[in-house]
Amino acid sequence: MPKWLRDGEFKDDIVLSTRVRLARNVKGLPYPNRMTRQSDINRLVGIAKKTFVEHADFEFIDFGKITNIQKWILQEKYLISPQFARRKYAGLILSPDERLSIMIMEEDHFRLQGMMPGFEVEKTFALVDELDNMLAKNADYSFSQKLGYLTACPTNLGTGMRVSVMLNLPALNMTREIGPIVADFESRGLTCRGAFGEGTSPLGDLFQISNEVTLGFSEKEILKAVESATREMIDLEKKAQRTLYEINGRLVEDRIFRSLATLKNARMLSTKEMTSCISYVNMGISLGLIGNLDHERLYSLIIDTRPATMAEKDGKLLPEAQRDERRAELVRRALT
Amino acid sequence: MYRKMCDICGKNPATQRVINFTNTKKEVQDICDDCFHKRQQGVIFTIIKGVEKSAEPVKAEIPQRVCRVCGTTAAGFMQTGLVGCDNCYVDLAPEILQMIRATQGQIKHLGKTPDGAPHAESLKTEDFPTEAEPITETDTKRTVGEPTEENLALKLKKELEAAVLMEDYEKAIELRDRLAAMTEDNRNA
Repeated sequence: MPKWLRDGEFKDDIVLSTRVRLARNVKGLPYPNRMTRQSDINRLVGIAKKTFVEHADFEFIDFGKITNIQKWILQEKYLISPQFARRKYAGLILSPDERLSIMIMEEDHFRLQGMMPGFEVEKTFALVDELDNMLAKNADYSFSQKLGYLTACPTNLGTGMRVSVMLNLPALNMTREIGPIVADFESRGLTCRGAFGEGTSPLGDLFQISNEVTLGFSEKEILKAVESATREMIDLEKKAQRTLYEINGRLVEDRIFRSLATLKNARMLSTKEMTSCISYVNMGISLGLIGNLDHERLYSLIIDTRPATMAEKDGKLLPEAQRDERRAELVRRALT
Repeated sequence: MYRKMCDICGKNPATQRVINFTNTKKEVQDICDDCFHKRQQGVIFTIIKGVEKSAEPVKAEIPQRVCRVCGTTAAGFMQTGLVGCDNCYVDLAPEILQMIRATQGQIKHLGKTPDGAPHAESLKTEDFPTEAEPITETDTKRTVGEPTEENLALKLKKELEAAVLMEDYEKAIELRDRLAAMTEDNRNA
């Protein structure tokens, strides 16, 4: 189980996690896409180490020294972006509970990230804001009164903040109600995308709501917008679940218990099938049909059964055909 | 928060602002990634082809700007969406402003500041770095000494462009009048 997921409070059966990310750059240095001098990179690493390793008990992970599999694991745990996992230099600063991380030399000099289990927008922001205050003492940030924090991509200007909430939306996805809701969100400066998979065909029923606009609003306004949109989405999902159950209770029950049986008994499980089953089981918990399963265990399966994370446990990366078998075994063991 | 939808398909949020120049007029469209891609393939816009064929009158409008510090070009920025350094925000201001206007709420930072100071409510346009000589690489070769009148006109023209994009019409009018006066002087000379 990823450390950041431990001891989570899941109040709604729908939100898996909350993430807040801030983009920051140091004045006078070229941005990572134009940075060529090792001394500049060393300077950034030095600033981050001084702030978080010397004066706090964070760990520095040198990307020049770890293997690709290790980087892949960090990506699967949502601690770094896929883009950052391909970096061969600089590195990552990680808090002991892995809820806080600082990517050095991602698209911007620093990407400060906070990740918490459940729906915790305010708390996650407070943690990242504190990281930012710490770093600001040692780094002279690129900042303009008019444009806010300057970033490599102008879509991150201003607050430099991206707030994302990951939700499980089986009923809205099944009834195809999700489409128009997503369109409405987009007209309000927010996005809602599938959390896994590419573009319009999300894997399972996991979606991510985040703010698109970063400039022209305060952090507080952005947090509030994402928070209220998430609440709205939770209500819509719950309503859709109840309606589905009222209209066709037998079919819904069948799907839910069939999914639970698959997770508990399957001998081969693809990520897609597992994610979909987890989402129906989750719906069963939400509807009060299944009682004795905890979300922490269920959600951690999504991460624990991904290829590189499984490889960490097994000591080797399994070929694709064998992964489904190993995944089924891990899921069975976790649920019985 | 408000998000503009694509002017072509109306289905997706607009992510790019495209300005098409023909010999007689200028057309501004906010479009989504899909339509932008189709346009690149020449499916939607026949105007683009027209531009290519009659390159001469359009030439002056195609941005040639380069960041004097890191070398990022306006064309490069428009392709990747990334700028290379703080100074790009000065030298490539018109292109960056187009992107900001298409993707952001408004051009006014209302969030946290590095020193934790309360944010100034009334911001002057002068705070925006466009004011610091938006001159392209090719121009600098000639502007090392005294700026020539031609360069001054070019500078004013770029400032005017930025002012219009930022909807600072008061400043735009002032710049327009200064430009008009210069042209008038030239004619009288």
